[in-house]
Amino acid sequence: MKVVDFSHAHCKRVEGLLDAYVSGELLVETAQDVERHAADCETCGALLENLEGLRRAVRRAALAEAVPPGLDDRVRRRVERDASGARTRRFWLAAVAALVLSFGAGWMASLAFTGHPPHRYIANEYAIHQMLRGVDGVFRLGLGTHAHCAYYRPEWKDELPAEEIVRELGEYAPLSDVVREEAPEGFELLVAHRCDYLGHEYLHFALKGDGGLISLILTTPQDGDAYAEEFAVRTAGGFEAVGFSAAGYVGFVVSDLGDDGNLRMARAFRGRVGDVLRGIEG
Amino acid sequence: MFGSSAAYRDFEATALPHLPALHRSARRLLGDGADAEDVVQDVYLRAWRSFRSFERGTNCRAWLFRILFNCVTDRRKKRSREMVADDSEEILERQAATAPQWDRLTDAEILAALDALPDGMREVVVLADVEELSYKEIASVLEIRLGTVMSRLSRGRALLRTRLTESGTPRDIAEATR
Repeated sequence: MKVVDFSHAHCKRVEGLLDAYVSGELLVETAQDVERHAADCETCGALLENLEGLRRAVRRAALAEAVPPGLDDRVRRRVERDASGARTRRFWLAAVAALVLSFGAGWMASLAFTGHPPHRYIANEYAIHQMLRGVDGVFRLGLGTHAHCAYYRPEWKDELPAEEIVRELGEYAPLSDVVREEAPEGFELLVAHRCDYLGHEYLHFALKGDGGLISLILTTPQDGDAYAEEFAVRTAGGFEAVGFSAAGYVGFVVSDLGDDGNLRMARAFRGRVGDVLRGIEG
Repeated sequence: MFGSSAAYRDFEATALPHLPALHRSARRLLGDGADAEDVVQDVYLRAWRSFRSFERGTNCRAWLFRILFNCVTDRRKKRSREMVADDSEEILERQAATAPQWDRLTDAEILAALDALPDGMREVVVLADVEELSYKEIASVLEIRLGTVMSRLSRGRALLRTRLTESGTPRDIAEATR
C-alpha cells in the first residue's frame, strides 16, 4: 500500500500563509489551522516565531524615533496661515463684489455677499477708515476690530448665555470668566466671539454699561506686530486703545472710559489672560 | 491661532492625531529628517485644502497616507531618486533560518536595514508592520493590486530577515540589490 505523506504539503501551505497570518489577514478558521500546525511542526513553528520577531523588532525600532519637537506647532501655524489667507481673500472678493454691484439690479447680490445693503457697507467702511486715519501699526488691528464688530455685528443682547460662549469660543471660553471678574462695576459681558479682520483672527469680548463700551481683543502677532512699550496707548475716533502683550499674544483694551480706565483694565487683564492662555496652549 | 472656524477645529481634531504616524513613515521613505518634516507639513497643507472633499466617518488615516505618498513621490522626483529594481531570487530565497536574536539587534541596525530595502518593498513593510494598515488599505494608499502588496511584503520581510541574521549586515542589502 502506498503511503502518502501529506506533512510536507501541509508545511508548504502553512509557510505560504505565515505572512498573512502575522498581519492578521487570515480568516479565523485558517488562522487557527496555522496555529495548530505551527504548534506541532518544529520547522514551521520556528519560521513563525522568526517572522513575528522580525515584525515586533521593526515596529519597536520605528516607534522609538520621536517626532521632532515643535513639528505639530509648525504644521498648525502653516495651516492656519493658509486658512487665514483664504478668509482674507474671500472677504476682499466679497467687498469688491459689493462695490461693483452696489447700484441697480446688483442690490440683492450685494446683500448676499456682505449681509448689508451696499450703501450701508460703503458708509461703514468709510467710517472705519476715517477712524483709523493716523493710527499706526498694530493698533490698527485692535481699533479696527472694535469698530468693525460694532458696525457689522451689533449683537448686544441683554444676556449672554454660558452655553453660547462655550459654543463660540470652545477651549478659550474660560477667558470670558476673567473678563467678567476684572470688568468695572456696572459693566456686563454681552459679546464673546471669534472674528477676523485684516487677515488676523481674534477673540473679542465686549462689555457694556452705563459708562459706555469696553472691548478686550486678543490676537497672535504676525510679522511686524509689536508694542514698543509695556502698555502702549493710542486714541482714535473718541476711543482709546491700550495695547499689551501676554503669553505670546497681543491684546487691546478699547473703550471711551477716559481717566486711565483703559490702562487700569489692561493691567488687570494682562496677567490673568496670560495665565489662562498659557494653560490652554500648553 | 484660535482656529476660528468650525472647519479648522474639525480638521485639527480629525487629522492632527495622525501626525506621528505620518512623520515615522516619511522618515523611512525619504531617509532625510529635514525632508521628512517638510513633507509632513506639505501633507497637512494639502489635506486642509481638500478637507471639504473628505467624507467624515471614512478612513482618515488611509486618506492622509495617500496624500503622504503623493508628496513623497513628488519629493523623490525632485531628488531624482530611482526606484531600485526588485531583488534577485537568490537573495529572497526563504530559509529555514536560524532565528536572529531580535532583542540583541539595536534599533539603529534594524532601521538601517529597513532603509536599505528597495523603495517598493520598504513602503509596504512600513505600512504593514509599523503602521499596521490592512492589505486592502495599503493597496488603496499605494494604488497597487492586493497581490502586489502581498508579494512585496513577503519579499521585503524575507530580505530584512536574511540580512539581519548574524551572517549579514544592513550594508549587504544595498550591495545585493544593485
